[in-house]
Amino acid sequence: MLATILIAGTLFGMMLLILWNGYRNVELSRLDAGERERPAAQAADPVAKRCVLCNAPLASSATRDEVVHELQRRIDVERAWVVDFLDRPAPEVFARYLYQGDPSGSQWLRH
Amino acid sequence: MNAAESLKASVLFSGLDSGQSGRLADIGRETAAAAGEFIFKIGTEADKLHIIISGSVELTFPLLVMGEIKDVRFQTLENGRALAWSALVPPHILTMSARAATDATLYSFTRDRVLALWREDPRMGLVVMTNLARVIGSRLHEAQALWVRELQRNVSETYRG
Repeated sequence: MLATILIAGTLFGMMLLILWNGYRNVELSRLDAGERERPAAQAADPVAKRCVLCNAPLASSATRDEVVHELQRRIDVERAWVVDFLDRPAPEVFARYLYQGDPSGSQWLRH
Repeated sequence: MNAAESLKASVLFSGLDSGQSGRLADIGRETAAAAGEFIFKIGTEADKLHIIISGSVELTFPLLVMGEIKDVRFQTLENGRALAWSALVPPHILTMSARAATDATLYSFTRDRVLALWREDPRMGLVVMTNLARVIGSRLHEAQALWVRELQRNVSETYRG
């Protein structure tokens, strides 16, 4: 009886060991595959452009060149706004329009 | 249009008579810059003044973008505009970089030769420096307006009433 219990216990223990070892091998092979694929994926898309869960655009999705392009576009817009009016004598209300975007100052432009 | 006429039509040399612009043309020389080529870099000594004869040139400044320094365009200048006016204004250090946006032709002058010419003809120096003061004043006013607008935005976003 005791021998039977010992044999059954040993067999059960061996079965658990085999299962754990198999699970560990599967996890290691998945990790290796991930490590092999990651550099290629990063090279193809250095910064993820969309959230992987909801596909929403990410705030930091842009590449460096895209950031520079957007900065230059904003500078062009700002400069065009400012340069248009710089050489004119202007009352204080115009200064509010120029510096603060106060629309009441825009009435000056019609004079 | 010959060199003297091109110079006379430029922002910096407008108001000079034909003799004066001719003497200026004599002390300068035409240079070329290929599209994408840097004509000068920010922070270096300005010993040459340039006038754009043809093509366009971008003034750029360096900005750290996502861990890497990139040259960002501030302004694009075309024919008749002056580059590297820091050559005439102490401490003669360039405040922006210049990169040819297209193939460009410039007329370039060394500071020493320009100053020597003005010692002979101080009126020419007065006319050019008056024009230069206008150019610098515009840049200053523009920079002030951009800065104040940026400050205003930051204040409005940080301190909501």
